[in-house]
Amino acid sequence: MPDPFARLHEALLRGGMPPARARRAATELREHFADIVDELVDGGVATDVADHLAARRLGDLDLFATQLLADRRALGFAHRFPLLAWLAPPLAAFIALTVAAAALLVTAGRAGWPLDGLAAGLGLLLLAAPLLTCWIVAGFALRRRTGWPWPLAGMVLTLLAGAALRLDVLPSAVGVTLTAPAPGPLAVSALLAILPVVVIDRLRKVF
Amino acid sequence: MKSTASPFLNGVPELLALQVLRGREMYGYELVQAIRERSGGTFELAEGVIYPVLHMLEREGALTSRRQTVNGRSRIYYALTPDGDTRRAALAGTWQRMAAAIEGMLKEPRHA
Repeated sequence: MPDPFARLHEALLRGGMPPARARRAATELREHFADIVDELVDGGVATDVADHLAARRLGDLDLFATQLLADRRALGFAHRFPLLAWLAPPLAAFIALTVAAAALLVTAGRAGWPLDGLAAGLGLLLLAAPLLTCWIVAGFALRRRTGWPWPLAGMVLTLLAGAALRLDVLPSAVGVTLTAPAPGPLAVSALLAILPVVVIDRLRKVF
Repeated sequence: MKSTASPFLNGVPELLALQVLRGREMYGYELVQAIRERSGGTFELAEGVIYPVLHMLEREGALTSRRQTVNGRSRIYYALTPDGDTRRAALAGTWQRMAAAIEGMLKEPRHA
């Protein structure tokens, strides 16, 4: 039989409650149920009957989920402001990383350091950064049981930025340019970003 | 009496929780038992209904909470804040006025 308190926990997460708050609410109700069972068993009631009576005394968990989610203040920032939570941070992080890489190269160039190795390393980092960002966004979405539209939009935006922003290292200059993303590499990045997430999500539902 | 049976009883679980917590901090199960005992069994809430109330009161600053593990059980104890006591007094005042008004109306002679 499915655990009703685990089901409540999932319902609270899907309703937009932050994980810590959802865990606390489900735990409080679970412990309350256990306290009622103990009270009844101590009073001489058989365990299986006590479970049934305790569930009746505790009340309708679906109703409590609705009541807990009714106050928008109980919901997480990502649920209340999805644009700010799912689109802005990944894009801003990637742009900041690109600008930081450019600044590092400029500083290194002025200091007379050899740029080849540094440029190659930063190039690899900028190649991997959109993918890593997408996996982090997906991880947050999975943990919060968020619906996929907003996290996917954030992932797509980050992949587009990763494909469009280019760091150019020339003998006497470092530049950041915006180019039209090439469809082929973009499609490969999208597949690498989304496929593991789909697999993990499916596995989580099975187990 | 189920607390949500009538819109007339909106605010009752909140008032009862604040009143009982005036004495000392309690966790949810303890609080529900205390409400039942002190009301002489008049108020028997669907016990889980106390948690949306407690969480709302905590969010609004009427209560604070702390977690403690007792005999392997995770307990969250709720305590009344000064703002919570002010809120309790306001709610109690409203209920006392309502009760006095209703009692007055019930004592009125029937109109022909």
